[in-house]
Amino acid sequence: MVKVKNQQRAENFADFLHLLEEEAVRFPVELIPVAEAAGSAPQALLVLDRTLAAQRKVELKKALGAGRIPQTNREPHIALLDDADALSGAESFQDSVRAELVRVKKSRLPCSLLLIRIDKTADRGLLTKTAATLKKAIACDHHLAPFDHATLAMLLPGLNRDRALRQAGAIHQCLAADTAGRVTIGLAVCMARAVPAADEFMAMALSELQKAEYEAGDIFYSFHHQDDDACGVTAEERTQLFSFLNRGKKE
Amino acid sequence: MEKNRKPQIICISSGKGGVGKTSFTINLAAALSAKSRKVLLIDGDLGLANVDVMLGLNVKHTLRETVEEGRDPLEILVEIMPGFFVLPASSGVPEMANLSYEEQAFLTDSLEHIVGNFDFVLVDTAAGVGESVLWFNNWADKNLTILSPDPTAMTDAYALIKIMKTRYNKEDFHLIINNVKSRKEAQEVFANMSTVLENFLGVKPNYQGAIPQDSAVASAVRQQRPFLVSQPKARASMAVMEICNKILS
Repeated sequence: MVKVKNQQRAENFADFLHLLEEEAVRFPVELIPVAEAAGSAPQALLVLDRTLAAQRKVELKKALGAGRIPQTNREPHIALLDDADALSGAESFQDSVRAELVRVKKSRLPCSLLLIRIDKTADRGLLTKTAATLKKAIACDHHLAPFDHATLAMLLPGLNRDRALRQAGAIHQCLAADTAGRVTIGLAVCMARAVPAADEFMAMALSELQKAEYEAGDIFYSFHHQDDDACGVTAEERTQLFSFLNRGKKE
Repeated sequence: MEKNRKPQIICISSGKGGVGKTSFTINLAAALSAKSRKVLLIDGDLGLANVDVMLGLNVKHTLRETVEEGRDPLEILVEIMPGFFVLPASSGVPEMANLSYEEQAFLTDSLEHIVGNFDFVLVDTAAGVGESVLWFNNWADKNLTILSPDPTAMTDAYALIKIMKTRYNKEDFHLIINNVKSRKEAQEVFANMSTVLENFLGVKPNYQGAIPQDSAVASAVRQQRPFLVSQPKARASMAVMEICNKILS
């Protein structure tokens, strides 16, 4: 359910839909305007869980608004790039990060955040072009947005460190082949047992990106409580596990 | 189907393969249904399913269709005996063994829509510590870990518990010792495992029971029937009934 505050701000239905859109950015949902005819003003909003399978989304769209989805239907994962103002895109992205961190606590599945710097001197045009290139390489539940004039932020729900590193490697390879300047990536990973605040999570990724900028490697990552996450069975544990098997032999 | 029950979701895992997960899970489901409980057994080995093979089923639909086509899991259910239903999975489909985050979320959502029809939901997971194993273990209310008295099975069971504790903050683990020569051997294995879990992870496991070595088990696998049904008086059958009673109590 999307609760709209300050309903008095809505003077007409279009305003009301706009307010809904503003509120919905805090949740992992995809909004699809529905109109009576293609090109006409939307008369309703279809709210879909962003994690639904693509096939299920198509079925729901058909069931709820067959033939009525206007051409304004946006691509969910690069929607924020359509915003004219990069700053507002970054703010909306932070709302998405916040919502995702809440989901990590609930679902106990990890999530990762990539900051991808194309070139310090990059302009908005290059950033948009890069986003279009990345669009081909990312899954539909990944969320892409501008972070600053030269940096893209990408939220990867459900990806742990290893999978996120593989994704970062693939992105780096894809962009490096296509871009004249250096491509650097900072990665932060969030696990359910230590969920940071959204600001802190983004700062972790930014700090890794800065390391990548000034050091030799192109991809750096930070992993919250990395030591605690070592799950390998140690020699000491094995020795104790097998101790009772050897007890009879010694006696 | 009658809905709105509050089912207990039990995940059965072992880490190592060939320890007896599927055989035990099928028989536990048969035991619970014999006690008039409505049971759903989910074949959680999504890419290399075995439950249908062990029950001699010729399934038309599997969970693959739920994930790929959005088919309602209720349409896939197979009733084995009164109160005992199976949700079969596919075999030889690597894509199903490595579901994406989005597909996992969709499958959980689909399963959560139907579990309210049952008193117990048992998940027979794949071997190993792959994502589907961890995800089903995380989803469950109760985690049953099966191990046998050999070093590889003990190490793998310990590794699985360590991951669930470290990464998912799970605290409550129930151990079943399979294929033991005697009750004494089962108690020794449990005591040892319990000590190591407590020393290194601060986890106090619960002893859920033991299943003795019994030729009835292998014979039932060949007959593709639960041993609880083909040989209800066998020692293994009695042991499963004992574990079933413990779960019900």
